[in-house]
Amino acid sequence: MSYQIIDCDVHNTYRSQVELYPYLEEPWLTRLKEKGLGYPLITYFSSVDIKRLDSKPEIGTSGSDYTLLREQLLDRHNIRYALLTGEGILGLSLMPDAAFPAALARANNQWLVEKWLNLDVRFLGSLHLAIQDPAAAAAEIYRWADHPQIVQVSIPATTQLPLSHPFYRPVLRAAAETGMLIGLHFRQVGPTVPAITPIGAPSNYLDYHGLVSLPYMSQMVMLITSGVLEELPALKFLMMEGGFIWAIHLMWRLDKDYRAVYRLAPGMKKLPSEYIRQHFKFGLQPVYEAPQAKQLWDVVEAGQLQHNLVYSSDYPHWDSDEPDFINRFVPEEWRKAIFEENAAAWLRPKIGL
Amino acid sequence: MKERHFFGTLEELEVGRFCIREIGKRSIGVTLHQGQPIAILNYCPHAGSPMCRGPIVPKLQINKDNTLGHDEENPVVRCPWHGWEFDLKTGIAVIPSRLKLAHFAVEVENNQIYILV
Ligand code: FES
Repeated sequence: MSYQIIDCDVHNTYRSQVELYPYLEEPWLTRLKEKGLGYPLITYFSSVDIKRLDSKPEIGTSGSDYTLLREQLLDRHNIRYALLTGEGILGLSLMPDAAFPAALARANNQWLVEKWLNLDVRFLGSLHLAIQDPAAAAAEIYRWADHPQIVQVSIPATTQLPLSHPFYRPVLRAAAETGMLIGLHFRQVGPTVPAITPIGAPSNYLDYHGLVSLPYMSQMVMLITSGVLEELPALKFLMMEGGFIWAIHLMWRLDKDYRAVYRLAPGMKKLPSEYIRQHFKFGLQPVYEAPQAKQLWDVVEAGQLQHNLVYSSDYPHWDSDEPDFINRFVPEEWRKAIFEENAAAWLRPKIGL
Repeated sequence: MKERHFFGTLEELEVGRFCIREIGKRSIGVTLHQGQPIAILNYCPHAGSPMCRGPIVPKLQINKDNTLGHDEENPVVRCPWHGWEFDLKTGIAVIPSRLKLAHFAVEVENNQIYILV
């Protein structure tokens, strides 16, 4: 079966913050020069480097060199579209102030267009925002609504309030009205990032990486029960790097509970599982390596999630998955759906597939 | 029947990193350990990374009194992608798995290294 590959999670970045300077106005330019972004980029220690060791270009960090990224990812795997999700910049939404991160977000998005999207028609872009100022974040979404390659806004999975809270409604409305996907990504701990567990901070990177699903689960439950998916039926969430087997847990558990306590969620009009299938898609990466490869697909079928999974390499991160590797887990008859169709269904009309 | 291929000379090898060369159709990395060359296929059995671009580090040692240390005698190769570690000498994965590194026999004559492939 022939199919094209859409990679929904590719982490591009800048060689150094200097690349952002031309896009930043004062007084923010001076602040960036003098104090940097103002939040830690790497917090947990890991014995394994955070990026694939062979992805480091001669100058700059992994993901900052277009030529190497093109060679190692786009050309080698014949990727038709790569959705760029950025790197490090996701912490903007969790900074304690609002104006500086909003200016950084605007600068980052302009840089993304000029330094990446303009280079290769295979690139699709994700906007970064500072959602602590929802009006400014919404304005930034509308600013790029008609750009042919910008298809998504990127938001950290951990937020100060649930995304379903009315505080964030301008951001969700702007995404819905412009047809942008909302990509949730996790963001490492830092002084202003909420802990991802209710029992305090994970004690190390192994704990953290094993538990990253928790904020995604929390967001999904409250987005469903709040009724916002009825209010803004065009909302589409791409849940990246957070796993998906837990979505089956939530479908079966919430459907059961909803029959009894539906009065608590008057904004809902159908079963929770139906909202999940309609409004949420999940990146396969990091793929669950079941003891036998086939067992993973048995689970996917049990949850009827075949149309809710998309291929994502997470290049150049240490736990990235290449297409050939994913093929071990996905039966042939479903590869077109996973690599192409499930993502394409949400990315049209901006892509030509 | 294995074929003997010239790889290089002992002077070209370093402790703690691989010298990577193409031998026929294969990419092979050779490093030195306790004066002896060790040759492995530059391909991780997990998902096919260029294995020999990973670091060679001492194995983590857990002492009898539960303190931690480094076992300098038994280095491991850490995969440059997903970080699995394999014993450099035996190719066996540190965390048990049926996947193993592929080793090649090595012969040294007058400082010349030959790989049997
Ligand atoms: S490719 Fe080596 S650990 Fe995955």
